[in-house]
Amino acid sequence: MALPVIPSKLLADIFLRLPTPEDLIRASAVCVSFRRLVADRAFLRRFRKLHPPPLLGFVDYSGFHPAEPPHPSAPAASAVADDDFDFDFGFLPGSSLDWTVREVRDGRVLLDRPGRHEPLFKETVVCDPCTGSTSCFPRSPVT
Amino acid sequence: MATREAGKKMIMLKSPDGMEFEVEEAVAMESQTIRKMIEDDCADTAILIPNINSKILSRVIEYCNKHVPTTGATGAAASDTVAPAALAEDLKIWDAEFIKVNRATRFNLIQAASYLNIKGLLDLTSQTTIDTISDNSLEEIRSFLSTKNDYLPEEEQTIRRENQWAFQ
Repeated sequence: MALPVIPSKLLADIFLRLPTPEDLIRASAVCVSFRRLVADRAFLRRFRKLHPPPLLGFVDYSGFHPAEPPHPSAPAASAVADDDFDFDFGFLPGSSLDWTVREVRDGRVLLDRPGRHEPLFKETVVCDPCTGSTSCFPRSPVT
Repeated sequence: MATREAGKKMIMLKSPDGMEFEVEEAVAMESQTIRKMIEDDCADTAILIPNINSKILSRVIEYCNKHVPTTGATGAAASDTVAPAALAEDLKIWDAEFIKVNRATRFNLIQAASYLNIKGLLDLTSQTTIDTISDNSLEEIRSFLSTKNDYLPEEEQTIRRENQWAFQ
């Protein structure tokens, strides 16, 4: 007897219960329609609501320190450290060597560099190394 | 509406293949879908449950019978929090036996649990699928879910390469 087909909406409900993001990736590699389900933005939003983000590691002045085995997110963390994210801040304007890390908190990094034309006024940015998104702050005098 | 004994309202559930099941209202209301029908007064005589054959419906009723909150002497429904640990353990063992069915039945139960909106049964029936995805190779997952690999070989290679960490 042929197996009943599980409708995709119901399959999505089942996938929501998968415990980790790597399970989602494995499910998405099963077939094209599974990938479409898992890559759907609305689905991912629901998944993130149900599952807290994994701890990938921490960032300090010397860079990113991935979670290491036996931590459950060690494989994901090593992937992040290897290739995905830019912890050299190459996405910042100008040479990344000009920028100095000043503070790290909650996955965001605060950096500054001397102003090019007005050295007294530093340029300050907050960025998320995982996404490369950067916010520039208005220039302020050095205190 | 039929009443079997005083204080226990009965509901008739009909499967599309013509079988009728008389169940206590409290048992039927384990299904949020049926609960809503009853609360909205859409359940005068009998409720037709579409798409769920009598074999599956009888299993669903068996599950609901077992899981309906027991009523104490005071008439207060015992909630999960006050249920003795032994009772919870007993239910767990019962669930484990209940779910020892073939894949076709299990997939039908998943669909029934979803349509009838019975959270506990959906949790129970979908857990094997979840465990299969978590613990097995792609080939084993495909075989379990009877899914064909419709990726081009290079597409699958790309997914594996880009997400190598998830396949270790």
